[in-house]
Amino acid sequence: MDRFTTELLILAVYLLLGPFLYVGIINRVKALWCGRKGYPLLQLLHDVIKLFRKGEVFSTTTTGVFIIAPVIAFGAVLFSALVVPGPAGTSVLSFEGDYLFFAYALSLAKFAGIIGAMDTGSSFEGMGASREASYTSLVEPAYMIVITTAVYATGFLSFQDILMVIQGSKAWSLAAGVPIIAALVIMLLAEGCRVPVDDPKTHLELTMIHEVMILDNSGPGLALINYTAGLKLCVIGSLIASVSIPVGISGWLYALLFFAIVAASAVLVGIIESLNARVRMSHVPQFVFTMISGAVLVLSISFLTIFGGAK
Amino acid sequence: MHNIFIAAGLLPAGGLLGVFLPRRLRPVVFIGAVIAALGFASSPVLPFMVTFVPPAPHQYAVRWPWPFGEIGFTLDPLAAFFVVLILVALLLIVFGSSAWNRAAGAGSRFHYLFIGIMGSAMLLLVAVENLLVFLFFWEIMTVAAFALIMENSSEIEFFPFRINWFTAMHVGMLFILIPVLIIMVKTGESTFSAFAAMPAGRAGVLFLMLFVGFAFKAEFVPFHPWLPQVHPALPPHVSGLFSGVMMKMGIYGIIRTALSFGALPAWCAWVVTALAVFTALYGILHALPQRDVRKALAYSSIENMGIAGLGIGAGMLSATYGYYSAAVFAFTGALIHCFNHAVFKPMLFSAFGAVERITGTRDMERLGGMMKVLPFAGWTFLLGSAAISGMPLFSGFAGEFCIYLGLLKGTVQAGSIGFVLLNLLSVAFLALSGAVALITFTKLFSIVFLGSYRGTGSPQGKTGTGERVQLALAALLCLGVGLFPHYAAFAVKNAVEQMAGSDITILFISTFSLLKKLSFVSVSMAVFMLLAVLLRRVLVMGRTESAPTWGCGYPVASPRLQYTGFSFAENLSMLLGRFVDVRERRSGAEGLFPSAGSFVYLCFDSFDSRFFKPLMKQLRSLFALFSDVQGGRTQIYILYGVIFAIAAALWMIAGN
Repeated sequence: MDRFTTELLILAVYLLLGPFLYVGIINRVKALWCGRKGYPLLQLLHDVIKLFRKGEVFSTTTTGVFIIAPVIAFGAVLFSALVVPGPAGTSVLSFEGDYLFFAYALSLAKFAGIIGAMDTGSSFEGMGASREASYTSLVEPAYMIVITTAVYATGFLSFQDILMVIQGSKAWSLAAGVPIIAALVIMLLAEGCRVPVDDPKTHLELTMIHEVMILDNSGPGLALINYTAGLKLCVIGSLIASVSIPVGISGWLYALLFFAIVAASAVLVGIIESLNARVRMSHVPQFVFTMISGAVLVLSISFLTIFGGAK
Repeated sequence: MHNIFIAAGLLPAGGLLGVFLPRRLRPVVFIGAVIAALGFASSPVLPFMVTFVPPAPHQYAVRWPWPFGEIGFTLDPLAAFFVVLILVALLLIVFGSSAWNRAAGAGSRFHYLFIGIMGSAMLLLVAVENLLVFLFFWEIMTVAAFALIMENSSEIEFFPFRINWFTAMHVGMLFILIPVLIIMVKTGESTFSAFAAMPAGRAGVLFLMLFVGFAFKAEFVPFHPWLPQVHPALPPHVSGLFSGVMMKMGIYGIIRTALSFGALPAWCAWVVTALAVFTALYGILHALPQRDVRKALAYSSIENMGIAGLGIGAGMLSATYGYYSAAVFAFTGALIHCFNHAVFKPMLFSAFGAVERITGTRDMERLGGMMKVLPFAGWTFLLGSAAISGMPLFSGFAGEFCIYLGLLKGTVQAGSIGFVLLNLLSVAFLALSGAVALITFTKLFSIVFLGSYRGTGSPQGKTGTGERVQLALAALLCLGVGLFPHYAAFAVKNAVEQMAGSDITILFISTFSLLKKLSFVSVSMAVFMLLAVLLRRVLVMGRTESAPTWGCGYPVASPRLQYTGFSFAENLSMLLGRFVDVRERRSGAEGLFPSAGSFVYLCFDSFDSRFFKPLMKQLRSLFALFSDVQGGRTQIYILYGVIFAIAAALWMIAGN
């Protein structure tokens, strides 16, 4: 088996099992934190398999939109995963501006999620859709500012090259890496619908965001949505891992470190969820916009290096 | 080149023939005329779109009576691009008009003649070299558009808005006329080539005036508030024609003037970029809270013109600094976006036009569930919404992707902090307006087409055959450009080269191969999704049940309890709503034993209500001071004459 096939195989396994483990780790951390044992790490996988075996209930109000929406969202998130550097340190699909494709593929997933929820005609799902749309809409410009800053600071136009530069020099990995990771963690929490933006464990429809959007989904559709949600977390986790690993590490060690960091990001999400309550909904935008401050920091450093003569 | 004149002649001819024919035949004849025009135009135009090395521009001179003299027409790549845009969009739009045309009392017998004259004027104005003749065609376009507006005068409340629009267009015309006259007097020439002779400093000011003039047509903020107020009362295809084609003429004007001036000072590009970014954000923020779907679409057009303008501004700026790799992307994106918008905006107007026809309302809070009644219009509206919000796989993304890359490439090469910051802010605001566009269009689509009907009764009807043809063709174009953006880029390559003003062949090859990669990703994503949808259908086959939507324990849900467009947009409106003038009126539904309550909201244009209206009020009170001067009494007027004669005599005596 040549190198490329091995890499692809590892990526496939990662994308297939990673999402389940990611959610499993978050839940285990939360359980341990409050003194419970927690359910199995692969509980989500069991749930998904169970749901796939079941039939599906469609509301009489719904149309074909409801049927295709989860699939579109899944496909979009899966393809966004392919442009992000994976456990081998390279992305399957790499081209200039792939980070734009990444952001817009996530938007497409959001688009599908919103129309899927609105198709039921339920006012609760409309409320959830409106909330998710409004709060994550702020992530996009913030992400763009971060990425433009990174592009400017490194002089490269694709994920892989940008990350190579950031990993490559010690100064950059500290100056640019740290704020970018901070921004990505915020993005992870907002896009992944976790505390403090959203609370996946909330019980009242009125306080839900993501969960209330999928009230009417069942069976395979629900399974796909749950898997997609995990996949989204995993993809942003991969991005965090790729930024963090210093240059000079490659091969199996890289992969190992990569998985460790993705797992660490899951642990971090778990810890954040254990220690924090979600913020008031009107304060979510402020939280999301904190992403920009990291970008501003990197931008000022780049200005200093390029125009100010500081090396 | 002759063929362009034949094409331009065919359009009004088709309309004129329709005047004498029964109603049902008019669109058929006109569609024939447009197809024939496309055929005739293709032979001079297509070589510019399908060859890598552009052929020499076609030139043709026409002798006209005094004062015009010999009029030069030039068909260069840029003109060829706009000819294709006009004719393709016109064809789709006219297909869509047939269903409207069948309804009793729809328009006058001159309807298609007006469209024909307008189309012909637009075709000729993109090719003409002579400035006065350009202005002549520009005026014909505006007047024909005004005729189309006035023709449907059933809704009297829109009357003042129409007059306002017509007046505003002529204020815009003034902004074009004055610099054109200055240039003609200074250089003694009467073609666009006279622009290049102006010294750089003065050229900047003149360009700015012309830019403002064209901004009135392209509806850049703050020169925009008039057309969105006219839109609701227009037939849907005329709305499409105005948004999709006429507004592009403003963009054409901006490109042509910038091109003719040659070297412009960098601040001109700054102004264009900054205003375009502001326009994009302002437009979409006003589209978001609208309850009149037509108005929402009209404001979204403003956003799209902003995006195209951003491509042009960023390209101009990069070209000024010599960053051609960035300029190529920005210009390519701007042109592709112009074309895309000319396709999907009329498509959205038409799809919603079908809804309007069977329900008789434009108010989205009274609609819902139309997907079940009009599935064809519903699915195509969905596709158009995805395209216009810039979702990957669809055409909007191709254009925006190129514009983003243009901005980012400029950032990489940038040598000044100001330039980097401008690009950074442009990227951020473009992303923000993209995110708001997503919410706006998911809102429009889901409130109108999904859920259940919010009004009384159950409207029935069908999407018309002509509408189906338009929607299907437009949907194919949306998907085609989205999945194969490299071919779209290839088609505009020669026009981009002309705009960049330097040989971009090598740079273009990298653009092409990059877009080809994007195309590969998009196509594989599309195929994957298609297979997954099929798989999903198979998976649940025979294992599905139907049940009412889960009401979270509330058993007496009614369609009126559904989430409304207002509530859907409220979260974001509250965040970003300072810019938007939304007024709410609540009454009743208070206290322990509430009486029946009501809630009304209305959206106004903030520039209009906070700036133009107060300004007009001031002007009116200023002019009122002079109202006595024109008292209407003959004696007074004779007195004026006598005073004037005496003053003139005195002046002459004093002069001697």
